Amino acid sequence: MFKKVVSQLSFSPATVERVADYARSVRQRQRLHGWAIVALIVFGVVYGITLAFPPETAADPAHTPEQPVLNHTLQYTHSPDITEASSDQSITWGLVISNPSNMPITDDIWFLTDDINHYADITSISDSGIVSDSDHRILWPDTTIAPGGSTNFTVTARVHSPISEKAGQLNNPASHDCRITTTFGTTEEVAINCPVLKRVEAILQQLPAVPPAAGITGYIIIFSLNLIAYISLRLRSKELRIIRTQLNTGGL
Amino acid sequence: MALLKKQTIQHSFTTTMRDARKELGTTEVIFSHLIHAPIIAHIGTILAATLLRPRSLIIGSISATIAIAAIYMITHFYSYPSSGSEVAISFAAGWIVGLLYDGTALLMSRFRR
Repeated sequence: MFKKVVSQLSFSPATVERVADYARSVRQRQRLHGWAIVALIVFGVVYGITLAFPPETAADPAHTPEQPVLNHTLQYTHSPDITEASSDQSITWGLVISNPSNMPITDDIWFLTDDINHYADITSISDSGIVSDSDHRILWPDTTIAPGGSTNFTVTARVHSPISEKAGQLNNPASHDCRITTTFGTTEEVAINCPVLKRVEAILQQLPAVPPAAGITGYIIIFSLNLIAYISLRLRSKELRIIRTQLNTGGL
Repeated sequence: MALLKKQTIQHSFTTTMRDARKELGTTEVIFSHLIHAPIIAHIGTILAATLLRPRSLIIGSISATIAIAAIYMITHFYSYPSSGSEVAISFAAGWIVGLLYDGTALLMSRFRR
C-alpha cells in the first residue's frame, strides 16, 4: 500500500489527499501497536511473576495404605447404595463375604477407608467393626464364615459439609478427585458433587501441558514482531511526513 | 506495456524514497531499505493482516493477563496444578475476539457507506 501510494505521487499530484489519508491510517495503526506493546508488557510482567513463583503442587504427607492381602478362598463383593452424593448426604456400602468352600473359614476382614476419609466421616459400622484411623482401615477380627455361607457388613459415612476444595495429591492421584473409590474384591465409585473450583482443577488437568520455555519463546516472538511492526510504522509515518513536506515545499 | 508501467512505478518510488531518505538518520535509512524490500514488505503485509492485528494483540494480551492472574491465584491458594497451556488458550481466545471486532467494524463501516 505504501509503495502504491508513494509511487503514484509523481504521476498525479491529486493523490496528495490519498497520501494524507494513508498517513492518518498509518499513525492510527502505530498508536494501536503502541498500546499493544503496553498490553504485552503488562502481560509479560504478570506471566513472568507466575513463572518465577510457581504454585506449590500438593503432595499427600500420609502414605497411601496398601491393599490388605485377601483370603483367596473367600469371595468379596461390595456396593454403595448411591452412585452420586452431595454434602451432608449419607452413603452406605454393603460388604458381602462368601465362603464357597466346604470348610468354615475364620479370618480378619479389612475394608480400606482411605479414600472415604477425603470426603466423608464414617458414622456407623455394623457388627462392631474396629476403625483404625492410623492406617485408614476397618477391621472385623476373627470373622468365621460357614461353608457355603456368607456374611454381610455395612459401613455408613456422611459426606462433609462443605465439601473440600483441596487439590488432588501428586503421590496419590485417587485422592481428592471428586470420587470416593473403594475396593473390596470389586472396585466401586461414588461421584461427589464437588464445588465449582474443583472443576477448574479438573479442566486445568485436562489441558495439554506446555513447558514454560515454549510459552516464553512464543511471547518473545509475538512481542518482537509487534515491536518491529511499531518501529516500522513509526518510520513509515516519518517518511510520509517528509514526503508530504517535500511536496508542499516543491522538493519533489 | 505492463512491464514499462511497472518499471516506471518502481522508478518513481525509488526517486521519491531517495529524496525522503536524505532527511533520515543512518539507522533509519538502513531500516527503511529493509522494510521496503519487496519480500519483507510482502511478509509484513501478510502478518499485519493476520497475526499482528493490533486490536487482536491488545485484547489477547488483556484476556491472557486476566486469565493467568485469576488462574494463578486459584492454583496458588488451592495448590492446583496448572498446565501452562491456559496462557496460550486465553491469549488465542482474546486474539480471536479482537479479530471478530475488526471484522465486525469493517462490515459496519462498509454497511454505513
